[in-house]
Amino acid sequence: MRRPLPRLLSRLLAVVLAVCGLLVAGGLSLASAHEERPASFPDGTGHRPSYLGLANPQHRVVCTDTSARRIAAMPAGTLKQRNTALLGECRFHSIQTAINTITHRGTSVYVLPGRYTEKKWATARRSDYCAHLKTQSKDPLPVSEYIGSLTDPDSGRKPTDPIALSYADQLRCQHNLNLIAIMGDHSPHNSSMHCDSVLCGTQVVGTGADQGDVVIDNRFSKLNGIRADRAGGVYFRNFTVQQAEFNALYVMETDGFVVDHVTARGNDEYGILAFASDHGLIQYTDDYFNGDSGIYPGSGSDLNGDNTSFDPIRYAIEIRYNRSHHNTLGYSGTAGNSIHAHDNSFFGNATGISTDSLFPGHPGLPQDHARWDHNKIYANNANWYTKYVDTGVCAKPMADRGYIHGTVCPVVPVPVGTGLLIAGGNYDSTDHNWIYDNWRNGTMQFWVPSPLRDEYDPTKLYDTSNHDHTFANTMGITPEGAKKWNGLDHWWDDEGIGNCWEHNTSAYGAPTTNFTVPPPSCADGGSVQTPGLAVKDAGFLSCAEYDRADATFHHPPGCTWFDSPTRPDGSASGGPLPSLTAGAAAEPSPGPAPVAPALGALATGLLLLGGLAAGRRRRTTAKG
Amino acid sequence: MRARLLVLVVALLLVAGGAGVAVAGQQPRLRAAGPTSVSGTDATAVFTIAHRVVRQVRYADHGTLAYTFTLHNDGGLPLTVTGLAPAVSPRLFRLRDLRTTSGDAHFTVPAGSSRRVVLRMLMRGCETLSARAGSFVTTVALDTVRARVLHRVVTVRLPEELHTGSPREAFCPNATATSRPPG
Repeated sequence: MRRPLPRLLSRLLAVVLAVCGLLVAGGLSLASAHEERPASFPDGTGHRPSYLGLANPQHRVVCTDTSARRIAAMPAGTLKQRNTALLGECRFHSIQTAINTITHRGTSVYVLPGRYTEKKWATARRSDYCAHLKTQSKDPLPVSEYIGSLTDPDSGRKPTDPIALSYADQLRCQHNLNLIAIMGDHSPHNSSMHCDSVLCGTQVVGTGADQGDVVIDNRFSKLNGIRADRAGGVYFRNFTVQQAEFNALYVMETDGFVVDHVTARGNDEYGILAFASDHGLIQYTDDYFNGDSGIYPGSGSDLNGDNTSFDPIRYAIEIRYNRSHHNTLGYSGTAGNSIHAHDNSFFGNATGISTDSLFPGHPGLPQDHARWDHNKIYANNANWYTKYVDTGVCAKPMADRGYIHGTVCPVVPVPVGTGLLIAGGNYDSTDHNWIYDNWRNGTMQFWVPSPLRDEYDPTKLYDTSNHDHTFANTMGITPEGAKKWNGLDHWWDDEGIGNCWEHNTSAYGAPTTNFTVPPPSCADGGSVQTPGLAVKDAGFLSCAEYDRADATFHHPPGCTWFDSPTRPDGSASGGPLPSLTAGAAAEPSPGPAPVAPALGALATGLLLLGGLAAGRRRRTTAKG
Repeated sequence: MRARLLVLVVALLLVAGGAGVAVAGQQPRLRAAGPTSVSGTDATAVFTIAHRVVRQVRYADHGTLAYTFTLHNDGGLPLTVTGLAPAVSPRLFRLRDLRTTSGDAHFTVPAGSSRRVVLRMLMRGCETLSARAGSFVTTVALDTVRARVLHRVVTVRLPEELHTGSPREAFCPNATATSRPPG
């Protein structure tokens, strides 16, 4: 049957729009994914290194053409004297080149004030081997574990850029993905992942008066600014590192590391990322303008994975005295296990802190045993989605988006206006924090069904959001005592056992919650499964379709997380998320206004009658 | 006599026209319900969050997922399904067809009755979607016809929301270093 023209036109339009959408999506999806080799946890025999100061006899000195001028401008004092002395020893203009000359463990690389682009390594021509790892690798990742990018089928003989390399290939091709690389394990083919080279205990130290005096600027030339891989004992101190597509500073499979007085800013994804590492410390850092998080302690060593006590055996990574602000997330950690974050400030982000069991491929899931205490978590209401995604800024080439000037292009969906979010964590402690001025929720906790992390064992369906304690926090009140209300102090989906909220104080008088049944105290075991009590929809299912490069799904249908919450006025009504209701069983397709169908029906009826009458006339005539 | 006949014809026309209007104005009432099943994936699970029933399936690139459910016609007229209507495609699925379990692409569901049907969809597109994102199929738009002339597109909400996550690149053969956004 021939279709009416308008319908054909509408189909054509739909096809054209779909094609345009694909073209737009394809055209804008030019960033690399951050795949990684399958990671393993260190055996935990390492230790946290100590800072060796500016007088380590084992050292290298790096400077730029401007270092002398910058040192001359320093105020008089011992630091200026030390810098002046070091300047006389300067033999290197590249940090990586200096690292490459290290012959003894525990060497300090002193980086004098200046801006370092590491041009030699940023633009170095790759060997034929490193340019064709997909086809020529001597140590390809096993197919079953290969999680890297494949060769672009259109690239022909052009260099290929796998993202997930085996450690052996990372060692061979250190600058495929990294501006500066410290690869500590020089025997990649044995079974140990210990640091076993002269690079163990390397310290990279800016010698300026503060961390802004030494700037390592990747300028998006490599995926990562600095990579420390199996580099036990590594210590980073007193510099700024910026403008990487993945991580400004990346610590991987490392047992023993410190990141101290570092600024990490203006990155497409992460400022400081530690993955599958142990005995770590991140302190006094300043992390901002990152599209994912300022600090990411993901897949922390899973020391407590089998620990069914609320108290941890020990923590793997300590995070203290940092400022992480104006990112999508101040802190995030898929499988952020055994992390202790305290005395930090997380503010001005879309969400302050998040840990989760949402994404597959992270060792140590489900997340467990993190503690956040004595942090200030406030004013996390920045809506980068409407400011930069909706306006097309994030569709520009990466280097043109203005990350270093404050643009943030969210990589992941988060509920704007949230202080602390636990998306499927266990045995987490949120205590003694100041959580205020977060206009949606102060804290938010919900269950993440295990299939979402590709775990289909039915016995594990409810294995997240259990035994989390939220206590002794000050909600909606600044440390100085001013009232700055959260939209709602505590949001919970009512799911999970052993969860409790107690001894929290609030600007509202009593903390505001959305709890259907307030759970028993922590001492009494916390929440219990309540038969028939439907869990609430936190909204993450709809928002999980988020894709900032997609014309439709940069605002997924039904996702309310990107709606800016209104500033709470102190009334106790709170601001829970809008509920999502299931639609009717059958939904007629969207059509014209109600009058039009009636007219259409009338016309159809008349046409029917007319057709019947005409047919009758024709039949009558034929008979006659 | 002639006048009476004319009045009768007009009355009949009005009655018939009214009936036509009533029939044409009535929305087709299709409803999807269980029991459900899937094939074409090596892992699946169903869970409920609030009022949402979600069936998670493991993505298999360029595999065909077949989702079986029951289609009820709650309307007063038999309804013939003639195929899928155009709709915005989910990111990781392309709907291919809806057939009865016996393979009929054009089929009629009698009024007040039901048919078991299979919705087949191609799993594709992971090379353009971050491994941290996912995709839903919650409704299906059907071209239908009643009384041979009343065409209507009916959007039916599936008994479960089908969801899959974009896989890691190991399971996304056409992914390249530049084909997917970060994630």
